[in-house]
Amino acid sequence: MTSLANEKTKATKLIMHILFYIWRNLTRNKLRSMLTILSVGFSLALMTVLHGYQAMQASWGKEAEKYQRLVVMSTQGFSGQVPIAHVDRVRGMDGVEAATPYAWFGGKYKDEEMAFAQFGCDPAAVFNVWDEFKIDSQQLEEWKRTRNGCVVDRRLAEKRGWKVGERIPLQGTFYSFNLDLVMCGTFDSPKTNDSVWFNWLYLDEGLQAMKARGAGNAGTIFARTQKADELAKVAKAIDDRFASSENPTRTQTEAAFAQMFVDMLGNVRVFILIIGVAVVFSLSLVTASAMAMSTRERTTEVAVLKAIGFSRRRVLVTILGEACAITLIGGLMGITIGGSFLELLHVVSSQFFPFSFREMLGTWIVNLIFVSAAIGLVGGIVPATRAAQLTVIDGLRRVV
Amino acid sequence: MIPAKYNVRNLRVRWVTTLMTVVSTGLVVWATVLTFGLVEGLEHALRISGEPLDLIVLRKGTTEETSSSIEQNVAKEISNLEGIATDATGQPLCSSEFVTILTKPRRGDGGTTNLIVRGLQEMGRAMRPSFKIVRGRDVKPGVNEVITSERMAERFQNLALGEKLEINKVLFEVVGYFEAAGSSAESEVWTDLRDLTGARRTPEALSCVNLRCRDEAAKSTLLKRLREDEQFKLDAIDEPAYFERQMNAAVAIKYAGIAIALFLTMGAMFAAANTMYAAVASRGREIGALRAIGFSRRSILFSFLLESVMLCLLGGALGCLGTLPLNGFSTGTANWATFSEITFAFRFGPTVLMQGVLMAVAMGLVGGLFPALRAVRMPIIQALRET
Amino acid sequence: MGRKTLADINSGNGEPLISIRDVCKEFRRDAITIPVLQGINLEVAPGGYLALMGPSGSGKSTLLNLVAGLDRPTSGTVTVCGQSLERSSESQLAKWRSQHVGFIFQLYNLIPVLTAFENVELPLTLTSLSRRERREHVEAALQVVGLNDRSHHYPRQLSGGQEQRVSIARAIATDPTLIVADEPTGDLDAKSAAEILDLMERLNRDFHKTIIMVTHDPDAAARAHQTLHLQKGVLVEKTHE
Repeated sequence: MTSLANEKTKATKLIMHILFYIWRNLTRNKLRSMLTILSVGFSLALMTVLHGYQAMQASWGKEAEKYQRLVVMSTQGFSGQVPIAHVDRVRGMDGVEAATPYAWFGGKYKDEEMAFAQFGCDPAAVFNVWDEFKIDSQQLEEWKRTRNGCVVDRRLAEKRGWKVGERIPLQGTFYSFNLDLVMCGTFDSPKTNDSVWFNWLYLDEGLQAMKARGAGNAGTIFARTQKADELAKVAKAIDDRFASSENPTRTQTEAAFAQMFVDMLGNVRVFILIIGVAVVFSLSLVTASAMAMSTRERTTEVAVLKAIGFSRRRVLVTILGEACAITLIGGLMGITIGGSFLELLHVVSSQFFPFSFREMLGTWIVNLIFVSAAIGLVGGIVPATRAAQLTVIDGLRRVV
Repeated sequence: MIPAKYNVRNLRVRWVTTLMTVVSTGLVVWATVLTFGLVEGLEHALRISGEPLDLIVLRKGTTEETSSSIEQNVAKEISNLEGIATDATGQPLCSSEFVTILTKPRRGDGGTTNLIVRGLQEMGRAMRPSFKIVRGRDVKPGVNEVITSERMAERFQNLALGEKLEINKVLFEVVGYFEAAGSSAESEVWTDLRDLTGARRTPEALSCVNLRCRDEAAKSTLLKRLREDEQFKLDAIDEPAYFERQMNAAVAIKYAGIAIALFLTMGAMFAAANTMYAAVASRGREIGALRAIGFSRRSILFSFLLESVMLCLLGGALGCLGTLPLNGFSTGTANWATFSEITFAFRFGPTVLMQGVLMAVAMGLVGGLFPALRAVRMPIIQALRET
Repeated sequence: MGRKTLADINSGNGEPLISIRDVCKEFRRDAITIPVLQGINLEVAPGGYLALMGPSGSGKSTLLNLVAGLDRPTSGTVTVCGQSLERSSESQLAKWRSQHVGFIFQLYNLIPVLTAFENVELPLTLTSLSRRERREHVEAALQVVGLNDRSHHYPRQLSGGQEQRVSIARAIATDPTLIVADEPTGDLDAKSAAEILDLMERLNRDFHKTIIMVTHDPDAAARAHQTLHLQKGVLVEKTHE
C-alpha cells in the first residue's frame, strides 16, 4: 500500500517537474512562443467561426425537431401550387394536431426589400402549430376579428418601435396585391423569428378580386403531429393522400425543410473542409519550424541534460510537451476569439445568427481542442526525435 | 545597399525553415485566392449575363423573372414598340419567355435545390451572349425536349444527355448541351416556350419579355415608355442592373472571403515574424559587421524587409500557382434572390492572383517589420559581441 | 583616375591622423555608472602602427571602438582623418567608416552566405564604383593577401587563417587610411597568426596603412611601432621590451 502510494507521489512529482521545465522553456523565448501562439490562435479562431457556422445550421435542425412539425410543399417547389383545400384535408388526417397555410409574401416595406419575413396564415390555427409561441389571448382574439390584422414577433416590433395599431403597408413583389396591415399584437418565441403573421384570407380575397395569379394557393402548409414518433408516418400519409391529385405534395419534417436551405449553399461544406485542412497543415509547419528553432538553440543544453542522466524519453516528452502546450494555448485562445466573434454576430444580427455561442457548444469544440493539441504533436515530433537521438558528444560540440 | 543575393542565399542556407514558412504562407494564400476566385467566378457569371442594351420587362412590383407574369397580348404590343433592335431578317430582337422554378435533387448526396427552367423561342437564343450547342442538338418544339449546360448536367440528377427531367408529371428528354459564354443562362434548363407552359397547365402564361434596344437613346425612351404606361402596369429593368442585384449572394461570400483572408493573414504574419526573428537573432554578428563596414541602419532595415517579403512572396507564388489547376473548375451556390442554383466556374484572373500576391507582400512587410527593426536597433558594439 | 594614391594620403604633413583629447567614456547600467576610460590623451601619426594591450575590462576595446567611429565618447574629443567623431551623427559616422576605416575582427565576421570575392566586394558596393572597377579592386585586394585562387570559396570552405586573410582583403578593398584590428590573431594557431602579422606589417610598411590593434599577444604587440598599455581606463605608456 505505502509503496504504491510512494510510487504515485513519485510519478506526480516527475510529471510536475516535467511540466515545470516545459513552462520554463515556454517562457524563455517569450516572443517566439507568443508569435507561435498567436499564429495558431488566429487560424483556430477562423476554424471556430467556420465550424460554428456549421454547428449553427445543425442547431437549427435540432431546434426544429423538438416541435413535431411537418412542412407540406408542392413537388414543384416553391413556385408550385398547394391548393388551400389541402389544408383542411391535412387537418382531417390521423395524427395531425393542427395545420395552417403558410404563404411567404416577401413584400417590400416602404422601400426596404426583404426587411423581415411576412407569412399569410390561419389565425385560428397558427398558434396551435407553433404551440411554443405565446400570445396574449385578447390580442389573438383581436387579430382573428381583424381581416387585415397582423401579429408581430416581439423582438421585431421592439426593434422597429411598432405599437399595437401600427399600420404596416407591404408592397407585393411575388403577388400583385398590396397589403395594408394593422398590428393587433405581438407574440413571444423562444428564438428570434423576425416575422409578421397576417391572415391568409386577406391576401386571397385581394387576389381573387383582382383575378390575379396565386389565388387559392396556400404556398406551404405547416402541420403539427400529435406524437413525436409519428412524424415520418404522417408525412408519408399526407404525400400518399395527394399523390394522384392535380397537385402532389412533398412533406418533410421542419428539420429537413431547414436542411433544404442549407443544401442550397452548395459546396460550402466541402469548401470549409478544404480551408480547414489547409489551415491545419499550415499550422503544423509553423509549429514545427518554431520548435525546430528553439531546439536548435538548445542543442548544447539538451546534451547537458542527457549528460546528467535524462533519458531519451524524457527529452522527447519535454519537447513534445512544449509544442503541445504552445498549440493548446493558441487553440484555446483561438476558440475564445472565434466564439466571441460568433457571439458578436448573434448580438448584431440575430436574424441570420439565431443561436448564441453557448447554445452551439458541442463535441465540435472538443474536436477543435484536440486538433490544436494534435498540431503540436505533429509539429513537435521531428525536432523532438532529433533532440532525443542527439548524442551527448555531438551536442556539446555543436556550438551554434 | 546590401546586395539582394545576400538575402537569397540566406533563405537558401536555412532552407528547411524557409521551406516550412513558404509552404505555410503558400497554403494561406492558396486558401484565400481560392475564396476570391470563387467570388470572382460568381461575379463574372452574373456580369457577363448583363447586356448593356438589353431590357427585361416584368410585371410592376416584381423584381424577379420567376415571380413575374405578363399577358400574351401585352407581350405582342411590347414587341411592336419603337426602338427595338432588329436582326438580319428584320425581326425585332424581342423574346417572350416563361420561367419556372423546380426543386430537384443534386447528384451524389448534395441534397435538393432549386432549378430554373426557361421556356423560350428561337429569338431568345440570339439574345444570349454567344449561345451555341456544344453537344447533341437544340430542342424541337412540340415534343417536350430540353437542353442545358454541361455543368448543370454534372450537378443535377436526370439532366444528362438522354435522361428525362420531370416537369409537373410530364417527362422532358435532354437532347443537347449549350454554352453561353459562362453567363447565368448556363445555370438554366431551356425548353420550348409552349411545351413548358403546356406542362405547367398554364398554356397562355408568360413571365417576362427580353428585348434589345437599338441604341442608348432608344433604351432610355423605351424604359420611360414601359415604366410609365398606366395600362400595361409593367416595369423594365436594364439587364446589367438586374444581374447586379443578384450579386447579393456574391457579396455575402465576398465578405466571408475577406474575413477568412484577414484571419489567415494575421496567422501567417505571426509565422513570418517568427521566422524573421530567428533569422535576425542568429545573425547578430553579421549585422554588426555590416554596420561597422559602413552600411546604414536604413539599408539593414531594407535588407531584412526584403528578405521577409521574398520569403512570403515565394509562398504567395506557390499559393497562386496551386490554384491554377482549379481554374475553370465549376461549382454552384444558391442565388438568394430567386433561391435557385447558380453554377459557375472558379476564375483566377489577374486581379484575384494580384490580390494573393499583395497579401503575401503585406505578410512579408508586417511580419518582417518588427524583426528588421530589432536588427536595426541593436547597437553595433553589442551586435559584434554576440555569439 | 582621380583617386588619391596611398602615398598622397600618408605623405606626412605634420598633422596627427588620430588625435584623442581628454576622452572619458562611461557606461550606464541601471542606476550605476561605470567609468571605462578616464582622461585619455593620444596621438597617432599617419603611417603609425599602434598596439593596445591590457587586461580584460581595461577599456582597450572601448578605446578602439571610439577610434573606429563605432561609439562616441562621454566627454573629450576624438578626431580621426580630419573628422570630429564626437560631433558626428550616426549616419555621418557610417559614411565616414565606409571611406576611412577597414576592420579586422577576432572572429573574422565574414558573411557566411557570400563567397570570398563577394565578401571583399561588400564595402565597395557603398562606393560609386562601376562593376568592373569593383572587380579590379577586389582582385587587387585578394592578390595582396594571396588568396586569388580562393575567390569563389565560401568562408566555411576556408581555414581560419584564410578567413582572416579574406577579412583583411575586405578591410583594404576600399583603400582606407586606417585599419582597426581587434585581436586579429586571437582565434588562430601560431603559424596562421604569424602569417597574419606578417601581412599586417606589409600593409603598414608597403601600403602605408595606419594600424591600431588590440591584442593580448605580446608577440603580436612586438610587431607594432609602439605599444600602449591600458589599466582600469588609464593609459600606462611602456616602451618595447
